[in-house]
Amino acid sequence: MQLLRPRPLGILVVILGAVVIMLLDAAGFMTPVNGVIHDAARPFATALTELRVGVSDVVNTARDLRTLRRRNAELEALVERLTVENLQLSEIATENEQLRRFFEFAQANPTYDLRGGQIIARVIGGRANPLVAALDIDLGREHGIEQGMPVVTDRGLVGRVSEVYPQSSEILLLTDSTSAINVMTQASRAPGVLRGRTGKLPLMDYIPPDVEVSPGEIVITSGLGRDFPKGLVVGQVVQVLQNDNRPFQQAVVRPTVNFNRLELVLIVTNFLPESELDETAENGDESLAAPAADTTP
Amino acid sequence: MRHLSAILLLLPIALFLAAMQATLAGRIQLLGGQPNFLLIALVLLTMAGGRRAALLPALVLAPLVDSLAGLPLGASVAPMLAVIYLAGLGERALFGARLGWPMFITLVATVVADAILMFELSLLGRDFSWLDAFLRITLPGAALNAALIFVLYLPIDYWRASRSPL
Repeated sequence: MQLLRPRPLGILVVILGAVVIMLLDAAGFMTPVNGVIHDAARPFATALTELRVGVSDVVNTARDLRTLRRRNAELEALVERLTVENLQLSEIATENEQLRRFFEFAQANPTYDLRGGQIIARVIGGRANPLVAALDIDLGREHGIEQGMPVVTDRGLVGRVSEVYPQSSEILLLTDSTSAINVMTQASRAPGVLRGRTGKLPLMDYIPPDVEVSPGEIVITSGLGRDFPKGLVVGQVVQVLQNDNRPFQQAVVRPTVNFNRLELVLIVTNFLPESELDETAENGDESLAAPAADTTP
Repeated sequence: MRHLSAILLLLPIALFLAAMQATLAGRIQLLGGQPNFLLIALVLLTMAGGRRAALLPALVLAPLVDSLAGLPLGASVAPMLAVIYLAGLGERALFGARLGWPMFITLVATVVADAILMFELSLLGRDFSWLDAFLRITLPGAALNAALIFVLYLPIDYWRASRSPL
């Protein structure tokens, strides 16, 4: 128990150790450890997610029942019988509805090779820590997921795969403060870079001053830099910021995806950003590079 | 050997708590902030069993939560040590005397822990608006943590009192 006594020297050693581990992690040396932790926590996360969805279904159903009883007293018995079925079917129905929308999205974008993944965890205004906007999904390297792949839903862009573990992956949301995406406004074709901000809506920066951007305009990926496929809906301009001291305009963008309600996402598996393609080419692996090139809009 | 067996016993609980933080915390939101189950657990553990009792769980739990939260591995260690230190202030004299104390300590500990974490993340190159993060994330999160302490403190205080010799 000696070791566990909180003595100043011991605490200092622990903090230094933590700093060393942090630096190793930042340099990418701790990815295998992260992978082991993610895989070990996966059953717990999946079980808790299912429990949460179940409880949510029960609460929602109970709320519906109250309304139905008040308005349709004569149908009370029927509602109670249907509620049992509803409990079993509501989750399937919700999932089917979402999958149907995903299918329509896939049909509308035939060049993307899409793969579905169920989210098992989430971060800030998201997942475990509000300072980092990231999500875990239950698909990993074993399912063909690669770092940098775009992640979307039928409502628009979610982010990109930032870390890949054997059976799970981490998605960096477009709202994270380290995220920067080349975008443009759909109507005025104004280019810019969308940056995430901690605790605030993302900001579209570097908009040329001579282009008129209006609130309500849709923002889409521009495809510049090949970090994302062109034309993915990102959000909507809610405010345009102009300042005489700045050479560029800025716009506050509200993402079309509700990150607090994400349950299913799609991963565009045949698109890799330019940087990842370079790495792939350096490693002599052309299997991913070839299909990714086909998706160039 | 005792440490190893303690860690092995702690791991499933730690994984469960880390997964809970990763899956449920984001669903309990107040004005953009969310609860920090790890911090709450450590505050309660420190108040119930002293700083020493909370040290090993903190060192096991913090990296697990970091990994699942997308934070750099080890980033939560220093903030959680600060939490344990703060929660240990007056642990014997004040536990059971006033409910306001643990709530106040939780508020302060959340602010301190978030400040240390943001400082670490800034050093690693993450760009923050400290004021925004404080107003929109830390303060609501601190309020939620304190509210949860309010709910959890009384049963744990009762349990602790029942174990104490008269």
